[in-house]
Amino acid sequence: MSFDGRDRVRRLTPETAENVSRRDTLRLATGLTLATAGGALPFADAARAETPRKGGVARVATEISSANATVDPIRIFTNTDIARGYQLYNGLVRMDDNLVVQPALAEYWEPAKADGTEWLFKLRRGVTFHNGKTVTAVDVVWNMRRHLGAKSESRVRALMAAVSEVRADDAHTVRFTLSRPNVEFPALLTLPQMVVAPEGHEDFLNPVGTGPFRMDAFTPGSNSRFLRNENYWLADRVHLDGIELIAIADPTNRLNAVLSGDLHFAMSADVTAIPLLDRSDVAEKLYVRAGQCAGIIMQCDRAPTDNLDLRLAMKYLLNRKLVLDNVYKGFAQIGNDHPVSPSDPMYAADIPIRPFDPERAKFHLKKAGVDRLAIDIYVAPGIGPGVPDQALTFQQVAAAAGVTVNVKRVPGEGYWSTTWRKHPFTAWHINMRARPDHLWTYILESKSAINATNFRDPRIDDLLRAARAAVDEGQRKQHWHDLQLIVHEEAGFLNPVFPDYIHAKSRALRGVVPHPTAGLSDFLSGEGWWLAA
Amino acid sequence: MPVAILRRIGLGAATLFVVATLVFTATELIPGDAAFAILGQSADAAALAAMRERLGLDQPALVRYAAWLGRTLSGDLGTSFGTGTAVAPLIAERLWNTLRLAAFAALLGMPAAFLLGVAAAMRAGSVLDRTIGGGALTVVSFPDFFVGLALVFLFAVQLNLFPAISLVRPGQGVDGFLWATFLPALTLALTIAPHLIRMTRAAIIGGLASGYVEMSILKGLPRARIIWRHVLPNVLGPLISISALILAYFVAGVVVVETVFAYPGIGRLMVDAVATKDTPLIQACALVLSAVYVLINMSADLLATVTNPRLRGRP
Repeated sequence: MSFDGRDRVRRLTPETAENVSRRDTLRLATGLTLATAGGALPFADAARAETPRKGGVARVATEISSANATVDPIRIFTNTDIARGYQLYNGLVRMDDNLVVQPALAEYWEPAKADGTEWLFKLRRGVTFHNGKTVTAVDVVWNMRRHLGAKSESRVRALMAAVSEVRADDAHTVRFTLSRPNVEFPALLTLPQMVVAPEGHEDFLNPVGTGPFRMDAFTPGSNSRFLRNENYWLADRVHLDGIELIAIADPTNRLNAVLSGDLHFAMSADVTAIPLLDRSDVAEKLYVRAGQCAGIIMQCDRAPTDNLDLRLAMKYLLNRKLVLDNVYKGFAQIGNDHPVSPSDPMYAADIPIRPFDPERAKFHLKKAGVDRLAIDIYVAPGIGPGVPDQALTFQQVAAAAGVTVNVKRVPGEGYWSTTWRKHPFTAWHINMRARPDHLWTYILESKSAINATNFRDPRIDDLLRAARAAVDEGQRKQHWHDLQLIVHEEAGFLNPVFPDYIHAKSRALRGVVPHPTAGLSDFLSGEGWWLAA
Repeated sequence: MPVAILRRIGLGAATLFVVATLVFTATELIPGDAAFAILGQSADAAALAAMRERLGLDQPALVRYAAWLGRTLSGDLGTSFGTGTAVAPLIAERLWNTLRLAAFAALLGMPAAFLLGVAAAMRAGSVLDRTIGGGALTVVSFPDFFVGLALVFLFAVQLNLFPAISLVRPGQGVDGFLWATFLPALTLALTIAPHLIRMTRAAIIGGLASGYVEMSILKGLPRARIIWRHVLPNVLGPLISISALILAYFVAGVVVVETVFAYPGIGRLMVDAVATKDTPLIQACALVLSAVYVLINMSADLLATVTNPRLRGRP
C-alpha cells in the first residue's frame, strides 16, 4: 500500500474540497494511474482515523550538508536550512500542499488598496517566542526590513525589491507598501526566508522562534536536534518529543539508513530506489507530482544557440516520452520547453506538446544554415535528478538528425558559478516555486543577472508586470498563457519532463504531507508528525 | 640526540610553511566565488561586490596571503565565511571525531593485522599463509566505499545489528559511540589491514634470513622466541613507519568513509567547505590536517630513532 495513495485521497476530503482545482484532479488522476500500475490501490483514510501517538524523536535526512548552514532567516538557502528553519520559525503565512496561502502568525490579511500596492496583515494574538516574549508587529517589521535595501544580504532581496516600506500600524497590524502592484503578494511571504525571529535577535547559533520545536543542539554542516515547544500556538499539532535533522549528501546512504530503520525519512530518493522501497517492510516511497525543472538550457546570446531555428531544431529533437520512460521510469510529467509544469494552476494546457520530429529538426537546421552540427553539453554530478542521463538520451536521439552531441562531464563544485550559462548548452535544475512568478523573476525577467537562457525580451517583462497587477484571475491566466507561449517558441529551455519528487519514509512515521515545492516548502516541519508504535 | 630532534622539528615546521603556501594557492585556484556561494544564484552585481568587500576578497591575493599567514601564526584560524563564526571550534569538534574514529579503527585493525602477519611469516608457504595472503589481497582490491556499503547492507539493512549511519550525539557515552561507529571503524580497519599484514610478513621473513637468526637457530632457540625476541625488535622500524602512514591516512584520507556513514569528521567538513568556497575553513582544515600528518610522521621518525640504537647518534 503506498502512502501517497492515501494522501491523494485526503486531498479530496470535504474540508479541502473547495480548494480542489483542475490541477488536483489531474494530479489525482495521474497519481491513481501510477499507484494502480504499481499494484497498489488507495484505500480509505485509515491513517487519519488513527489517533496520533505522542512522543518519540523523528530522525530525518536532508540532502545538502553545507558547512555554510545557517538558521539566519535571510540567509536560509539549502533544503537543510529550510527544514531547520521550519522547526524553529513560522512566517506570517504558509503555503499548503495545494499551493493555497494559509494563515500562520498572521490570522488575516487584505489588500489595503484594491490594486494590490498596499497590504495589511493582522497578527494572531498571544503567540510567544521560545524565550517567552510575545510576538508583536515590531518583530515582524524588523525581520521583513532585513530583506530590503541595496545592502541587504537576503537571499530573496530581488523578490522583495518591490516592497518600498514595511511598518507597524499598531502592535498587531503590519502594513506593506509596494512600489508596483502585486495581487499575489501574500504568496511571497510564504517563502522560507520570510520567517520571524524576535526583534534584534541575531545570535543564530542560539536561534529563537515561534515554531513547533526549539533548538537543542546545532552544528553547521552536521546534525541538529530540536525539542518540542510546549507553548506552541497549535500545541495539539505537535506530537513528537523531538526531531533530529541529519544532512546526508549521498542518495544511497540516505536510502540505506531508512531501509535499516535508523532514519524515519530521507529526502529525494533516486527512481532506481523505488523497487527497493516497494519491497521493504520498514520503509515506503512517498512521491509527489510537481514541477521541478531538470534539463538542458541554451544561451540565446551567443553562437550557435543565438539562432532561433537552431534552438527550435533542438526542441524537436527531444524525445519526451523516451526520457519519461527510460530516465524517470514514468515518475515525471511531460514538459513543453517552458518552466511551468502541468502541476501549476497557471499551466497553459492548450499549447500542444511539441512532438519528437527529426525531419522538422532537419528543416530548421537547414533554415539556420547548418549542415552538420556538433555540440557540447556540460553536465555535472548532483545537478538535478536524472540530468546526465537526459543528456545521454539526447545524444542518442539527436544522431537521427545528424547532430553529434558530446556530453562533457565537469565537477559539481562551483558548477553554478563557473559552468552554468557559460557555454551554449549546460545542464540545469531548479525547484518548483509556489507561484511561477517567483521563478520567472529570476530566470526570465530581462534585467535579472541570472536570466537562465539569456533570453531578454521586453514582452516578458511587460506580461509579468501585467500578470502581477491583474486582479481578475482569468486575465492573469491569459497573461501566463502568453508568457508560456513566447518561451515555448523562442527561449532556450530544453525541458522534456518535470521529474516528480520521490522520498523514502519509514512506515512508522505518520502525518507527513508531501509538498509540490518539496524542499522549498515547510513539509519537513515536524508539526503534525507522529510515530506509530 | 636533542639536536637531531630539534632539527626534525624544524624540518616539520618548514614543511608546514610550504604546505600553507600551497594551500593558499590551491584555494585561489578552486573555481567559484565565496560571495556567490553565500548570496546564491539570484544575487546581483552590487550585492556580490558588497559581499566581496565585507569578506575582504577585493584585496590582492598577496595582501590576503600575508594577512592570513600573520593571523595563523598568532593562532587565529579565522572566521568562516558561511556561518560567520570562528573556525577553530568548528574544526576542533570535527578533528576530535576523526581522531576518535581513527583510534577505534586502529585498535580494531592493527593488532589483528600484526598478529596475522606474524602468523603468516611463521608458517610461510603453508595453507594458513596462503589463506591470509589471499584474503588480504581480496579485501584490498575492493575500494573503501564498496566495503562500507557492503557492510551497511549486511550488518545494518539485513541483520540490523549496527546503524547504517554513525550519529555522534553529545553525552553519547563510550559504548554508544563504539556501537555507532563500529561499521566505519571496521571499514577502515579492513582497508588498511592487508597492507599491515603483508608488511609485517615481509619484514619478518626478511629478518629471518639474516645472520643473527642463523646464529640463534644454531644455538637451538625455539622459533617463536627467535621471532618475538630477536626478529621483531629489529624490524620494528619499518612497521612503525607504515603504522604511522596508516594513522595519517585514518586522519587525513577517510573522507569517503565519513561520507558513506554520514560521520561528522574533518574530511567531510573540508569537502563541504570546498563546495561552498568557504576559504578560511578550507585553509584551516588543510593546515590542521597537514599538521597532524607531519606530527604523526615526525613522531614515527623519533620513535624509530629511539627504538633503533644504530640511528640514535644520527639525525
